[in-house]
Amino acid sequence: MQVSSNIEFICPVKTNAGKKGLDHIPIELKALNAERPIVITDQETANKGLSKHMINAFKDSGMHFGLFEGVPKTADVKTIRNLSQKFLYKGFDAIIAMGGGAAMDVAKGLNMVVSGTPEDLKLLAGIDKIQHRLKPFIAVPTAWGNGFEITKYAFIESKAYASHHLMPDLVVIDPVLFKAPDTKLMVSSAMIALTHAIEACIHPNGNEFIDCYAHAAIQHIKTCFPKALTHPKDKQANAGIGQAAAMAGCAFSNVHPGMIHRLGKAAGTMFNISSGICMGILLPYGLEYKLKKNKALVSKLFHSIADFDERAQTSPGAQQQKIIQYIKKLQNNMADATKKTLPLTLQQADISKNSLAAIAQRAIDNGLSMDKDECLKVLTAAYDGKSIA
Amino acid sequence: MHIPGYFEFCCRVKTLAGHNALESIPEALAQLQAKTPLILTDKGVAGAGLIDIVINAIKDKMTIGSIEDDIPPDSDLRVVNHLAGVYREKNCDAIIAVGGGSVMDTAKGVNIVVSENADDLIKFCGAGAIKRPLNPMIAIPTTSGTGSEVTLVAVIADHEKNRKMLFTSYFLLPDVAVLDSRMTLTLPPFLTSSTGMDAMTHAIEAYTCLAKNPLSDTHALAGIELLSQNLLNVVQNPDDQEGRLALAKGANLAGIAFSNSMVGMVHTLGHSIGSVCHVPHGTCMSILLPYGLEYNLHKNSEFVAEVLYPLAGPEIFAKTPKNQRAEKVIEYVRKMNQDLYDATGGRHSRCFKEVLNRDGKQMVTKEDLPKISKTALGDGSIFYNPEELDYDDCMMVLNAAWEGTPLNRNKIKKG
Amino acid sequence: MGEYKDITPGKKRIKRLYTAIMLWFVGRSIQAAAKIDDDVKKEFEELPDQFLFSLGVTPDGPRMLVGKDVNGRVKYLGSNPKGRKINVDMTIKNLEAAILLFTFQESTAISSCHDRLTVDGDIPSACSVVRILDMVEVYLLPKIVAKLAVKRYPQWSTERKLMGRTKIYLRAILGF
Ligand SMILES: [Fe+2]
Repeated sequence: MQVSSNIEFICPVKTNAGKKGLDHIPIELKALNAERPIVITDQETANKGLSKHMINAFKDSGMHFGLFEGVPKTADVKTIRNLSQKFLYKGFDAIIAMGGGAAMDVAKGLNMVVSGTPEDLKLLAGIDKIQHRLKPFIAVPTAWGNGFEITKYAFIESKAYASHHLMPDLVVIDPVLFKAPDTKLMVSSAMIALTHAIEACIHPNGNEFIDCYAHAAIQHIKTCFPKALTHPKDKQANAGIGQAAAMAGCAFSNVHPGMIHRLGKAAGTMFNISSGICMGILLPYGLEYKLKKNKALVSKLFHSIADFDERAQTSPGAQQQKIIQYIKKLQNNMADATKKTLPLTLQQADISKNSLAAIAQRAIDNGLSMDKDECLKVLTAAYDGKSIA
Repeated sequence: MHIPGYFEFCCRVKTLAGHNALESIPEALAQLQAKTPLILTDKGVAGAGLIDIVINAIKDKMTIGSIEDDIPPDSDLRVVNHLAGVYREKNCDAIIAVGGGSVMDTAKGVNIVVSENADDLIKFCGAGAIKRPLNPMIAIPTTSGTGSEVTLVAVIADHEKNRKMLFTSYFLLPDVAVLDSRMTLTLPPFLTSSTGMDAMTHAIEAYTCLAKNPLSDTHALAGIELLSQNLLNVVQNPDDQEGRLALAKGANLAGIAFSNSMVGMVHTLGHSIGSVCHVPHGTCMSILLPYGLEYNLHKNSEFVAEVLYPLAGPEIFAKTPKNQRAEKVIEYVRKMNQDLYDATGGRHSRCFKEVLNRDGKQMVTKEDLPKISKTALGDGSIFYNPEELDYDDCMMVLNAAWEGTPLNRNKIKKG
Repeated sequence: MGEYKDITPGKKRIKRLYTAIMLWFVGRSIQAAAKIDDDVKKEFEELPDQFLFSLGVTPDGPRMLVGKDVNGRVKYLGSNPKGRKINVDMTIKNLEAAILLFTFQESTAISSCHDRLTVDGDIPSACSVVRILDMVEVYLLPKIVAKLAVKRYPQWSTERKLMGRTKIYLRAILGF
């Protein structure tokens, strides 16, 4: 990878977060020159009765919309094709996706199709293939997802798409949508957000602008995550995790995915565990490895995690230990909140030791530029739950 | 961290920064599907040779439609319409604006005219009246201060009808802001110092006023740190490229922060002194910043105290007891002003009675203060200030800032 | 596409009605306050002749207009902005935001900090309008509520406050 002295940053996403955020959607659509959106969501979100909040938000707005509640568990071309016909036939002019990863992926796919031609979808797979601004797209997370919702990535069937044009114009985080979460899913989402934010902070191509989003994400995790664990019904705290995921996604979209992300995703996919849980397991060991290699990262990372008092009082020598301690403490909080059912090592996650090499290989195949033996060092440490040898 | 009940945050501008960031412009324009930019600037910028640098950086890779370098400081609708004519005539498809506030505003106006094919700009006046993406625009700031490369407003005067048109829309944000150290390298020390303190004020007010939010906060803190670590050094060593770039980034971050959280009374009073007495904006900011902090301290000392870390660094932060950190911030800002005063041979002002015009005459007299106070009550930023500010309050602050004596904090009416 | 529905969201009648009543009441109270309070009177005197401002909910929500007539008298002018030249237009972005404002969960200042309110028109006049609204709020609301609504609760004499409050309430309801 070429390292240039010039830096680059872009975040086309506007953030609207907090109480009554949904009610601002009609006026936001108007500002985007749209007035007839299609709202798409998945069955799970629909079953929780969350669509009614969207309907309420449009009351008195003078706008009508189409509501599709049938996004499948993973995004598929068939749904996108059906929706695109509906979109064009009914004359919609904007897309609102409500829910988790699949709804966002379908929305991104739909946007590529309706902003161009139906053949476009396969042609646009890959990196930075989209040349034009797409239709207005608003993302409304309601549940925990895969961490890719508010990013430049979309995954549809076996293809991956990456472009800043795929990012939503607006993300709305409204606490009213964050109720009765599944704790494990919430933990997974928080760990992905933390991993994305931390890896963006210490990325060799990182910069001050990326840090602003990453730091805000980490602070949301610090403030809201422990509370969401002990008070699962606290909507504000849960919405805080959603907020962290969105901000981390914006930071993540400006760097290449990091080592912990890649290894965690590989392990998660291969063993059918949510990749956030894997990233959470790998985080302390992956960081230990990185910090050992590059001491300069220690203070950078400590800066992102610690508050001003801690930063002022901790000597440089003690910082690394504090970082790892902080993450392990979070892990213990998570273990307590899930009554110890949450795995803290790869072994506890029922991953066999002799598959570690395959995990490393898969991560490398997916783009991780790291020596396989080095990957194994991290994976082995995470397997045993011991420091890197 | 302070999480408000509800907030909105948006900065869609792509940032390119570096010692040769200008060279990335052709690629950035290509991504925006544009090939023929119109370069807009003023005589000052062109005279300093900055346009030559821009042209050299891009000319091999693209054709330049035209270079228009005579935007006056009091640019207006006539200028906008003339430049829109040039844009059309030369078949341009993008604008590169190089300069400060007036150039940026004019460029935004031209962009509205050519993108919307408007013959009457008034149709697009007001909040959110521009509803579609405009043609590509790249902003290259030549001072590290205003942050106008990331703001979504434009003000265009119509001298014939004697009115000012205000435009706000997310579509007025430039597509790309290019921060290149060469663009500020020749800025004289006293302009560096006052524009730098303007940026510092943006960041500190963004962090301590009413509409702060988690994202404006991280931008503000990052801005304060970069500005504080580099301002005095660059004023003393104007050729320091790294320092110049850091200031440009710091000012940009501060601009992003305040355009999302707004600013408070330092700007309320500063705008008014600017309009009544024509004192440069940065000078007003440098002088008023400590007073704004003092005045609001009983409302926001918790946030002001946190500013001490990025402003003064970890050692001073650790050494200062928690309950004295906010006051230490004020003391530190005053000391910065003093250091900048010394470093610029007295050209960086510490109080209003020191501000002189070219003929050596005082620009602000005590007799001006009532008029300034009255004007201040009509400035929109007054609402984002933590404490109420009435006519008497303005007079009290202005009197102190004129003399250069700290506020008597017992006299502040606390709500 | 069995899961597809066309949605016509409808209206929130009660919230609309409540907001309309509050706006009517605030409008009439401003008219009353301009007669009995010197500071409110002074703010209005500074405003241009035939000044007209409007406060309402977008789009097509309840609205109120207050303006100065040719003789400089301040009048509540109903809810229909059609065909009038408005100098300051304050718009609440949606009905829920209006409810937060008129149930005093969010003050005017907080509401604008939360990006729920937009102001169009002449800014210095808009500043006067906000000060007038603040003063009227102090008159209308009990101290405990008004203290949250304004940044600095004014140190008015008990007489000014209580007498003024009674007069404004009476005039607002009776309409003189
Ligand atoms: Fe400023």
